[in-house]
Amino acid sequence: MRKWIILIIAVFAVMICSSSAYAATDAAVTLVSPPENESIVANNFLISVKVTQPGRVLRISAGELQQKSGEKFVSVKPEELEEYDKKKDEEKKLTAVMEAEIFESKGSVSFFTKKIDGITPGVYLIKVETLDAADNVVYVKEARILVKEKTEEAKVFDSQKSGTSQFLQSLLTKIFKN
Amino acid sequence: MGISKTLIEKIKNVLIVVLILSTILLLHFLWNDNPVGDFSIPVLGGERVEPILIKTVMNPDKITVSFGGENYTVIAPSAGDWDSSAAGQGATRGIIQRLQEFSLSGMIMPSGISKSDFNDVIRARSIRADFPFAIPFSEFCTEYNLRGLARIDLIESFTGVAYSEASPNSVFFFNMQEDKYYRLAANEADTDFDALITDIERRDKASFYPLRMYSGVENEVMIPLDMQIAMAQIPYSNNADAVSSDEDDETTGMAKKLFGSSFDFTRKIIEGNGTMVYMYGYGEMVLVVNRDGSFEYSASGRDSNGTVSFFEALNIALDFISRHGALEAHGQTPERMYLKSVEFNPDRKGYRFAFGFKIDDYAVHYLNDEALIVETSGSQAIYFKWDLIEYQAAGAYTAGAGDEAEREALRPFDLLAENFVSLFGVLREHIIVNESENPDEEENFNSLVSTEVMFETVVQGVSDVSAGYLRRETGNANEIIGLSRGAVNIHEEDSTGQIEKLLPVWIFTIMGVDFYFDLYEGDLVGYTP
Repeated sequence: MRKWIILIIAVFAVMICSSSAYAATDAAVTLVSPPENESIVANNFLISVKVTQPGRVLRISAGELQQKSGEKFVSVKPEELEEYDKKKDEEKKLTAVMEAEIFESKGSVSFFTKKIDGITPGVYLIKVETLDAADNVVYVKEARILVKEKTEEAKVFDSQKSGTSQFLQSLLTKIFKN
Repeated sequence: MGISKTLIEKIKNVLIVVLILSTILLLHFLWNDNPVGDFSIPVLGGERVEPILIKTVMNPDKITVSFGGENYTVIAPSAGDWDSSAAGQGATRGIIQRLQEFSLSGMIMPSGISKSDFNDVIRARSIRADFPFAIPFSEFCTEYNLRGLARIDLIESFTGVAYSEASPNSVFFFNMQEDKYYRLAANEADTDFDALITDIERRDKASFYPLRMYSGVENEVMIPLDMQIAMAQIPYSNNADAVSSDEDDETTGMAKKLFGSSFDFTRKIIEGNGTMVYMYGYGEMVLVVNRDGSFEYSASGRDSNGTVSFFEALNIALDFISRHGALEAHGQTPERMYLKSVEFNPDRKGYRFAFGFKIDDYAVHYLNDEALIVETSGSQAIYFKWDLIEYQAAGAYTAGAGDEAEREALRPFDLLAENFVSLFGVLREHIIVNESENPDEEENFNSLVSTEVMFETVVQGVSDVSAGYLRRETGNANEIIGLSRGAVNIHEEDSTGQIEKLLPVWIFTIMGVDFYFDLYEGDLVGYTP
């Protein structure tokens, strides 16, 4: 009995380790841009992947997350993401905005860069897979990019300060400066 | 029999005319502070000299537009983007015209702002114009009729101006050389800069991104992801053999224009290496005609009691250039010329203006020197050097003309990523050479070993990336003529031993060093520390 328990524990341990290995990210690969899990407002974005080891073979792809609404699939809004994750697979879809591309790093620091046009508000997934010599996926790195609707430009300076208080501030500065 | 009254009246009339002319002449000398030697009677019916206007040559290096959401483009200012008065009637109001409107917005409050705040406004929907040199602020306001801004004494000088929708009632002036940023806020402003941004947005343009988005290293310098460019190798000549010949009429003509009536009293000396020297007196005026086709003129300046303003000195320099025909002699026009750099010389109470030339929107870079330099002292031009080349008119090399359709240039960021180790090596060599001036940087360089830190150092040091043409050599490629300042020409000469083609290049300015890469082949062809 004891042997059976040890064997079951060992099997589970191997399964967990394998899945961990598959889900592990490649330390030599960094998604520089777009910023992960940050909201952007744009109709295009730049994908930049940095690789710090030569000879790495990557497969890079990007797609938009979509969810079923009635008979068709529509974009997922950033605020709907939590709810989206709870949906069943048949209610979810990934629509490619970029065909998968293969990139091989050549120097000690290499970059894959690509511009993705035609972006509309929604949630996008960028996937970077590290492949071995047999084209098996060894590492996976995924990042979700939140693209929001364009709103009025956020003001950097308090508009009230452009009036009387700035005048007083300027006057005081001149008096004490002299 | 005495002299008749009629004759006396005639003599009086002649004397009055002579006195009036003498008075005008004396006023000319006193008012303009000109030396007698500079005076010459204009030839009646002779060639009329068109003045070169400041607005023709003084334009921003580039205009950067942010459309929001980290979408950018950078354009070479077309006629009218900066100053629509230079473009003629019907042109869309440029940045200067909108600044003039802003300056009439009533109470305007100036304040200094942080670099961080400035970067935030620039990332929003905005437009900014950058100059490669600093301009005195109050003189700029006077010159361009920005009445409401001229009394602001907070800003001494600036290298650029910007507008952002993140602060729509403001304009921003900044000095990148001194890392200073200013906001001019009006209570109400109706300047409509956004119309200019929208106009640029509709043009066919390349996408630019800041270097930090490519590399993850902090640097806001904009570079294009990729660009379709129609640039070809352009044959050129500077007539070096002709102008340095003893019997060249144009050279003699140039000397006559520079020396004026004193030319008859100049000595001509031909040195052993073929350099010709025209000298007046004991060196009061000297013209050197070099074997490589370049000219250098110098005049001993009189002690000047006062400094003229930046724009007055620039007018003096442009007037000097236009009067002495250097551009026409080499088939150049003022429209191709641009002001490249400015230095103030306090000892001379004057300025050193360096000018460059462009083909279409692309600057022609010299590996060894500048195309045209004028130095002023007070109200006088005291030094004039030019090394001009002739090439086919710009239109012959635009897209679709001849064999050179647009093709994709190599990606500049890829060039940077592939060559950062060799770039680092060059930078390290020059930092060590200057160790007495940069001990901290030398220590930093010596302690760096990892390639990743090398990459970050190179990327952080990038201050400009642009496309242009490179003039790699003067005269025979086998000689070292002109390779001053440690400039390095890496490219091999062609079979004739002459390099007489302008090469399309990417230019990376990193820590003050200009690196030149072949635009389509990617080879490093030279650098100028």
